[in-house]
Amino acid sequence: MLEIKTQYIGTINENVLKRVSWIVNATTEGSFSVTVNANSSGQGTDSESSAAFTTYKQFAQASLAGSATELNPNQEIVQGVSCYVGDYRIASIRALWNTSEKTAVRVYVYNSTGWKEILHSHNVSGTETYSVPVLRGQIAANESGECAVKIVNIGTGRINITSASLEAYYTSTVKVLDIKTTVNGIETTGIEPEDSLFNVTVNVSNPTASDYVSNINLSITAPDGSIANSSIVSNLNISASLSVKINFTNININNWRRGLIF
Amino acid sequence: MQLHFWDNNWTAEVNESDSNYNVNASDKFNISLDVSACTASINVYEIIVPNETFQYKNFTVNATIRSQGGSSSDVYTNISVPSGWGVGNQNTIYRNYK
Repeated sequence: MLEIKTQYIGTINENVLKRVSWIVNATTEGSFSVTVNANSSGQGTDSESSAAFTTYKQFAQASLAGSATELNPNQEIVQGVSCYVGDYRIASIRALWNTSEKTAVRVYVYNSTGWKEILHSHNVSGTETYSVPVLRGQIAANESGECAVKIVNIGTGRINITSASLEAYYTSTVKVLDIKTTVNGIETTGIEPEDSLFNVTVNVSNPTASDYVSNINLSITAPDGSIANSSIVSNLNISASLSVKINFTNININNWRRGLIF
Repeated sequence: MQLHFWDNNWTAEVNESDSNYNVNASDKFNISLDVSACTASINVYEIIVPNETFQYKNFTVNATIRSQGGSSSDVYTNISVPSGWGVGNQNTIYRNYK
């Protein structure tokens, strides 16, 4: 606590409350409290701290990659921008589009497991800059470290997507960015019966300014909810601002039922 | 024993939880309290902050200050925030709380 701002409020009579306000501008992210101190020349001093509150880090407005694109009806475009790993509290997609016809758009964002619809239908005619709000937990970095947006032309006319940008607020947190399965060094989403062993690589990112020690637990669940395999890497140190890939090798599928999705 | 007072009328009675309880409230008495030896003290009564804030976006911290046991003079208040944060645009509002 270094920044201190003092106010003189003079005399306080008994049974009178004085409310004092400060406008504060947070410049760092994390969980914080502020402390207020009052002192009187003859009546001592008192100090109280506020309840803790969270300050979210700004992801300054950044353009989504990709040049201006014309979308015919039912066509879509996916654009992304490199973004930080973390929990996104709120964001805004700002799009500039134009059409000489009347049409409508639908907008999705990638939430780390799939596309999340954030704008079901918006009619467009002429040129327009439009902001679409993104709520808590609706957007996340994908395995490439990008925040991705999908715009679909759901109307009957053509539309030009001139540009799009993302602005967001988030907290940096350690996250699993990606999980890849490989057989004989080749990435796969299915395993043949004759391949009895496969490997899993888990990509964990630590975007914070502190080293992080964690147990990484890989759990493979069968369709009936039973655990087909459970492996753990204990006390793994993930250095600040780095990602690590953890390999779980030679996972045996000999006793797994064929044809099931795990 | 419990004491009850309304303005300057005080009564006393035995607590119902007392092992020797019996209904027995006293008459009303006038009692004068000499508080001349008490000194006033300044008190930070309440601090109100948002649950969530956003980097580089202004937010307001409201604190309520009061004086107990008499008036307090030449009162200064200050706020301490994390290093690098900005503070400004303060204002003061007065109101009675009784």
